[in-house]
Amino acid sequence: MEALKRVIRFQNYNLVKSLGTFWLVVLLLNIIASSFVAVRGMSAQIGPMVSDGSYTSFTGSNLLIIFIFFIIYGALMYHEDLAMALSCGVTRKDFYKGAIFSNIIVVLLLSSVQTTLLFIEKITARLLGYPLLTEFGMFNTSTDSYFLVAVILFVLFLALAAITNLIGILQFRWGYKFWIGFGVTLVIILNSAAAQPKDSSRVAILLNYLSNINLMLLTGLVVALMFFTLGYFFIRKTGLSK
Amino acid sequence: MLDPSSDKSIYVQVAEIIENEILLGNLKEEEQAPSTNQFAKVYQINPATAGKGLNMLADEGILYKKRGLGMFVREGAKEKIIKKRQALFLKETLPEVLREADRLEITVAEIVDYIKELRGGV
Amino acid sequence: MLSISNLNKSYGRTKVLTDINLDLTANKIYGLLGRNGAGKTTLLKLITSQLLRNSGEIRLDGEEVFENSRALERISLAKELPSSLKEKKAREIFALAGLLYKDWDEEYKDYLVREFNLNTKKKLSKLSTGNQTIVVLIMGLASRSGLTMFDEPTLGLDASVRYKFYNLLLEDYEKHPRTIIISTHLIDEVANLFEEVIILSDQQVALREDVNTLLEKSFYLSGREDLINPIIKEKRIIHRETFGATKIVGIYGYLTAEEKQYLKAQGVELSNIPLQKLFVYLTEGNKEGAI
Repeated sequence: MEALKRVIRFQNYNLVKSLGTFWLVVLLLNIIASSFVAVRGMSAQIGPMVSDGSYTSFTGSNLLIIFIFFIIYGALMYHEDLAMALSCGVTRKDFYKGAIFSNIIVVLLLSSVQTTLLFIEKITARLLGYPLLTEFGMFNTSTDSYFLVAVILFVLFLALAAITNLIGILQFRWGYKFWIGFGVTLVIILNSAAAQPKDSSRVAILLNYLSNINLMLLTGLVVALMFFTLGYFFIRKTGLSK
Repeated sequence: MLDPSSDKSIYVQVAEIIENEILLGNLKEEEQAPSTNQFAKVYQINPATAGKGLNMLADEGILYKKRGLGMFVREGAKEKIIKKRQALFLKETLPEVLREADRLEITVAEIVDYIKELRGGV
Repeated sequence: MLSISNLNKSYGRTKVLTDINLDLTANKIYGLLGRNGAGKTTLLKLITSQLLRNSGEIRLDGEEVFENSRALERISLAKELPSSLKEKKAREIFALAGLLYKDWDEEYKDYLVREFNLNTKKKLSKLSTGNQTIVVLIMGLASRSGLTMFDEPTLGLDASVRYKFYNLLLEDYEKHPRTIIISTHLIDEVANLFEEVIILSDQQVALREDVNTLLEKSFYLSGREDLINPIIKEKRIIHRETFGATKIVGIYGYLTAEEKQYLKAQGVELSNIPLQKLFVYLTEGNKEGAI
């Protein structure tokens, strides 16, 4: 237990600094983009935003940046942290337990801050007078409660973190060879998907599926569990080379 | 100084350093000998190796242990070392000199003469 | 303290270590010697579980070390850091090491940084090779681990810094006795630090011996071949030279009083092999040289 605590402290050594910088930058982007709108009106479309033509959201575009954050977070967790930890006598098991714990902390922080920002924009949009995009497929900030949106984002980010976590591990183990394999697999999958005849009923099933909140949350959790488990399978037998 | 390229073990060299100190009078009877750790630090050797050298001298009755204080020079240590070195001189050094003299065809009489000359014709 | 049995390791088809068996006692300084590529680093990395072994056991006070934090938190290996950490500042590395090492001594780390005059604000990649080595040495010393291992600790260091390290090591060893393993292929300076040496050669432990008995067990015999041969027939010959009609043979192993007497009587010269020569011969394997 002592060893695990040390690992967790180690993994979160830079947490405040890196998450602080991250949100500072993201917030700044949101503020800059919205202030352009405030000054010049909706025609001034500068900075990151999501829009369906008539409705716009600035904080909604954070989802993409958060996605990139997770990819980097997952890569560094292994590329730097695991390398250091293995050099300093940490067991793979402890490291992995700590990594999952740290992932959950980060997911919790990101999802709650992002939900808060989405809801703050409801006020700023009214003040600045632009039509706010509130429909994000999985949730709708005008009809869903703060808590529900937070839970949905938490599960979504957790699934995302589990996937990028696995990518981080595979990249640590196989380096650039992993990316070659990843690219090849992706091409094969996309090609076979493109070869399939477009079936409108299938799309309908998918949409229907996504609209069922409970099923969606369950799927997210299963994906997270699956990928985190898969990750341990690979890290268990990983050695530290150069 | 210690000579790592010597064919003598380091601990033997450690013992010889102390013996020499005693012979030269730098280290007197009942005085404290350098500790294992002092040796380790000054000569950068493993403390256990230094300890082995000191213990060897203790076994020979040149040093003795005072509990908790360290090693001290035993009474009569100098005498003992002199005797030991004399024996060594007579048994090894001198025969070696004589063997070399034989090879160089120097007679014993010549050697004796030369020694007298060196010592000022005593 | 540390006991290794039937340890095997290979990289792909290349065998690196074959059936290593070792038992180390606590609070001694061990020298792990062997030529480049003899498997020294691999052995150390296996002890810290950074690498996976093919078979065998490594136990620390009876406990298998692999994936065992209770054992691993008592072991540290001071070794060149993985390249992915080279963009970190020295002080960050120390901070992280301080979080991970159970027995880390922060004050002692600060003392060492001053002693070595290290600029900790620089990134590792911006430090000279010697200073990068110093970072690693400080990590090893300040880890205060019960089993502290140094892999090639003098890489890129100039003489004065090397001696500083030897001094600091001995000083700390006196105050905080622990088991220390130093791997090196440069034996000249460090030989006297060791209490015991382990020599790796041809994937195996070629020798493991108390430094002080090493000398007493190794001899040069020099004289006519026909006189020497009957004695060395059963001995382990580690060196052979021919010098005119005289043969010089280095053997490893005790000589009985009778054997010594016989040799002396035959006019064969007998002398001990200096440590450094001995290491060279033993790490070279049974290569025979002639002048």
